[in-house]
Amino acid sequence: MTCQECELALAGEELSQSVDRHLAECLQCREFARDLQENFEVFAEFGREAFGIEKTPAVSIGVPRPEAVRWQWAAAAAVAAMLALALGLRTLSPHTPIAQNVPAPVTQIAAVEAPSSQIRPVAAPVKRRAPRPPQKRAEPKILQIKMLTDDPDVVIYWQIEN
Amino acid sequence: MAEHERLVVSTAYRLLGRMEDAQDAAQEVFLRLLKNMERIEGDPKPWLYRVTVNICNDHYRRRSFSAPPNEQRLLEAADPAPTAERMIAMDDRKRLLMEGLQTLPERERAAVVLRDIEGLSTRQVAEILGVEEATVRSQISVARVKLAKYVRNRQ
Repeated sequence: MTCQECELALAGEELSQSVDRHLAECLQCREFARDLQENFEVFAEFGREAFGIEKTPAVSIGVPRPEAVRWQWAAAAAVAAMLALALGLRTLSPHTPIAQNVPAPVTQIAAVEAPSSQIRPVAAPVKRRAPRPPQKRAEPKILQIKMLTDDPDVVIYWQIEN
Repeated sequence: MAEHERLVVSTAYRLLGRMEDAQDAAQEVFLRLLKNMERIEGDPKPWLYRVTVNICNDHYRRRSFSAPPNEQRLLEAADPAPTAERMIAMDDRKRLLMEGLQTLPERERAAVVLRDIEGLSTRQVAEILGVEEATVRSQISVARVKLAKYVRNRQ
């Protein structure tokens, strides 16, 4: 047996009589066997060392169990369905005021002719218009519901136009 | 969860040789775990080991080989030993072994970390790495010889 074969056999934990015989004769391989043993001890120590992860906002270590995730999704879906149903019923309710198509009253203006003699050119006083307050556009009301889930990447939005 | 944390961070640290890189890799592993939670059935350890090894291999390929591992970080892992002489010798061996691990080819490094440090069986290592048991045995033997020689040549 060569030293190379002996080293591989020792490293592979394949002990045999030929390895023992070689070790008995070869000081170098005995030292190699001792080194291997010490390395195993260090590796075992490495395995016992405690390591932790640095918690950052990107990672949530409190990972829920799959069953919990499934249950929470089911609950979220049920709540969303109930909300949708409630809002739908509200929209179709008979109490909801319906805009009636009533014609607007027409203002009658009497046209009166002024006597021409009384007309004099007069400089019209300059009236400054007061700035009008900004008029609000009649936009439809939008109800937005934001539902948070355990997964920070998943947020459910419901937008309902009223 | 703490057990999984230890598993991922320690494996990543032994594979990458730097705690900063190991922390980055671990975060990536846990993000993948969150995304794949529904698909993992039973014990998540084999999945965690496999993903950790893959992510660390990617990190290893990406990073600059010119920068040596932070020796101070390597020594931080050392536990106090009964005597000062023994402590120094052990710290020295730990440091050299961590350095030596970084010199091994990807597959050999993964095999020896999983088998000798994480204490998995050859069969488990083979399943994680997706190779035959005989291949793992051979990789581990060769890696152990290389590491022993690396330490001896530098002591």
